[in-house]
Amino acid sequence: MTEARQLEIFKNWLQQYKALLFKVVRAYAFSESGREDLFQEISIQVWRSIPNFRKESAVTTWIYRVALNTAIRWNQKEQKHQKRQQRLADYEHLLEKKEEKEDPRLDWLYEEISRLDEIDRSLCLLMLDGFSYREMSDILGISESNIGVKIHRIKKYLIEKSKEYDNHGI
Amino acid sequence: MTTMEFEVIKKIWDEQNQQQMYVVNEEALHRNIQSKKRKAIRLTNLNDFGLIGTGIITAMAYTFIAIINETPVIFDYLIVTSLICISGYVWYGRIQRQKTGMRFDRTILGDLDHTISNVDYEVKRSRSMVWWFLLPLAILVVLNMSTADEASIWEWLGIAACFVLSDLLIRWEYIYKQRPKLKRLKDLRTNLLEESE
Repeated sequence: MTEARQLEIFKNWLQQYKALLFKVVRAYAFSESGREDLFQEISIQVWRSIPNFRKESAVTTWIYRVALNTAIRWNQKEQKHQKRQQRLADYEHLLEKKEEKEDPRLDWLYEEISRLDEIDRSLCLLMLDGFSYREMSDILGISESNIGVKIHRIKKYLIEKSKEYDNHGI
Repeated sequence: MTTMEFEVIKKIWDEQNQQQMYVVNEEALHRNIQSKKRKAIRLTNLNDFGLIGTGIITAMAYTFIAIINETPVIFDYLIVTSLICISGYVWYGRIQRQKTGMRFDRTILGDLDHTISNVDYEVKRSRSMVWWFLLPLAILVVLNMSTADEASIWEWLGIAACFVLSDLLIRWEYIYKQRPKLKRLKDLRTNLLEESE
């Protein structure tokens, strides 16, 4: 594959699936600089993965796999966060925040997601984005029954936590 | 206290698809990708090439010195042969590792297993390096120096310091870098596979 073709596919994917990347970034990184760093890391991995994409799965499944994998690893390296933040001073800003009013319940939801461990967090994103157990199993590489157990636990957790949120009505 | 039904939570989640939180600076992103790509190529397999390069360059330097001195002894040949064998061994390990890499699934678990396998390889190599790298070379160098009449105490001390330092560096890398990394990855794998509520 030529580099020009790879770039074309990348730009196309970025255009179509950036919302997916933002969700992963928001669920795994909690500061603006962290989000920039993770977004860059995920973009690089997505770019690198393009020549390996064999169309055996949907593009969303592929991108989710790459993005979650990168986010989980990135999370593991969080101990070196300080060092990363220093390096970020050299970066050009990649993400500009839009000044749009957001449903405060979404903030609450992300906060609860962030309290899950990194594996449950990835499952939670897939579940909320409507992936089937089969698709989740293809992305994570674990059995559908295992997925079922974890999803049940996550749903129960979110519903339970919603009791503590006192601003349901918008 | 009221609870949200899962459908409500899902609706809150889906609303963000209508309005995206960020605008991406695509030009900057592309520049960063290119720069990371170049950096990654430079850093890729630094360990392997570092060891192979060290072995070959030292073997060449040793051969050159032996030719200049015109008094090569059997240990000179043995040291050069060992260095070349060590480089060959590292190269062979690298090829084997690359072949193994093809076998993993394209899933998060597969990627994780692949990383664990690579780190595990590095850990095993670090732990055994004393036996297949440092010790044979140390024995040969000591034997070679003991046959030379003019080796001073400082030369002995210098050689001893080099081997001790190498051993300490190998141990440091194993204890503080590779072993914790392997543990983190294995914990993550356990977490991925555990089913208990």
